[in-house]
Amino acid sequence: MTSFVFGTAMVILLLYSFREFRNGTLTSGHTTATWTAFLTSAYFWSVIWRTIKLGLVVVAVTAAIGYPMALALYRLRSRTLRFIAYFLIFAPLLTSVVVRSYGWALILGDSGVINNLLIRWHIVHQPVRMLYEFSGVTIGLVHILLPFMIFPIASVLDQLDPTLEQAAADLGANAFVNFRRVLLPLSVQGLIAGSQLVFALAISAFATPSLLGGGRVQVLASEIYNDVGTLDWPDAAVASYVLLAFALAAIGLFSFLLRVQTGTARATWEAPR
Amino acid sequence: MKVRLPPGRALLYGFLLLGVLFALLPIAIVVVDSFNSSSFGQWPPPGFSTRWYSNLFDNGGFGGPAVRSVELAVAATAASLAVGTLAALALARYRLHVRRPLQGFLAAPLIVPKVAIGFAAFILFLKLGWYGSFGSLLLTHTLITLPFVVTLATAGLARIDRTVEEAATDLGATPLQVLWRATLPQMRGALAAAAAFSLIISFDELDASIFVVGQRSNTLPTAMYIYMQKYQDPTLAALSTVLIAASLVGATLLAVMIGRLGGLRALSARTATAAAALEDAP
Repeated sequence: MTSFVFGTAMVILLLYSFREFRNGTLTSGHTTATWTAFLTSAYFWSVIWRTIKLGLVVVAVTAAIGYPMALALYRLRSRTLRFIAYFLIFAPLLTSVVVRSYGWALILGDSGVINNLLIRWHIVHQPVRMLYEFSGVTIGLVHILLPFMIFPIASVLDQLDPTLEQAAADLGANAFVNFRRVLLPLSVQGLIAGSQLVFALAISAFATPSLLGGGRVQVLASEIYNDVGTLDWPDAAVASYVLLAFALAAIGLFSFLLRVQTGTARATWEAPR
Repeated sequence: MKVRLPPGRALLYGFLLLGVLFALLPIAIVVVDSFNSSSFGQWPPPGFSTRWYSNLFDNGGFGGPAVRSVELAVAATAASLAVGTLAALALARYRLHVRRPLQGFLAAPLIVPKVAIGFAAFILFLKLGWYGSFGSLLLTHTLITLPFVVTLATAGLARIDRTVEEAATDLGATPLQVLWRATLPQMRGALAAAAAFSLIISFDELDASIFVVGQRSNTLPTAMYIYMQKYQDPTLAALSTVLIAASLVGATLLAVMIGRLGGLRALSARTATAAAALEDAP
């Protein structure tokens, strides 16, 4: 039943993308006009590019923050501390995305927490604009998607055989070499899986770009919502399928990377030295 | 007693601490702001006030959406548990011709962006005349939570001891009795985790719901979204604080429950299986 609803809905959506919205009404008959207009419009390419850029930046930042955090979690000896850290990192997932975006709006606003401190400490004289800017949306999304980066990395690290590191140390590897030659190559899988998840979620995120972007940071998801508001369904349908295409391409690409990486990792370990 | 940490390790732990603070920051700010006497979230708060809480309960208009969201989360969880467990059983136990396509179809809502699902569902329900009904929301939410239930149930199913089922059959149990008394009880950890995931996802769902809700059938997240776009006063912070308190209670209960049922293993196996499901999908 649900699958039927889903399938039908997606087909209707595809049909709509081959219609056209002109002078406030839907034209009858099928046409590729909407697709052509969409794909030749500089405005839509700017929206598409902004969406992809947001995905890439969020992946890079969550990886840069999430990897050391996952590593620290792996290194924590105390089980209690570890449990507490996990709990505190994942607890925000239980609060609504709207709540978290609202919190960031309070922090990043012109008279918000950060600007207040910056001005009081005479670091800047004018508030730094972050809310309703790309930077604000990025910060909000990084916060929301960070657990999705940490979790795959931490679970890959957890499955490692601890004797590997001991063996490397016995063979004379110091902490850095041990990390560079043993831990990192073995945990790249988690990093790729996390990036896949975060990228797919970031490019299709709606609430955070729309609330922290305030209409000034238009991405594909918010474009679809606005089109529906202005009754331009064919345009929204095209945007939906473009977004889906990018999500599929990204998932395919990361799956490919994962397969290549697993292949090379296996080859390195199995190769006689 | 002093424990000396190597400098690299200390740096790593310091980073973790900063990361945890970053994760908690916006939530802490929201709680503080709910007592802010200023009506536009001025910082630092000029004074202490509880008027946003009275505003919330007197004329926030969140009561109806809150009730609807709870009903929806429970109903969608029940539906996706029933459908998802059976689907997982069918996938694991029978050599179906449609196995791969079925798997792909079940995992598809994970990949298709939520806004696209919501928009597609909106058009469909409008055509069917169901737009704005509870049933249309229930279908949408079941669709979204189903992949998680199937994934976790499949993981749980892979781990059960099949000799218990064989023993039950040998002792004369009917297939239905075997399912109910031998198979499902062994999966209870995974199913509890699936229920928890499903409840949380449904209760927080905004991206698809915003298209499907009618003007009189807002869920809590959509009502909050619309409120934040219109007003931005700390009434939202007061509501958020109430929700945060509720989710802390919920998380504690959940941690205890999952710990007791041994569902944590199923949870950590989730990433691997989810990745596998994603790869299978296209």
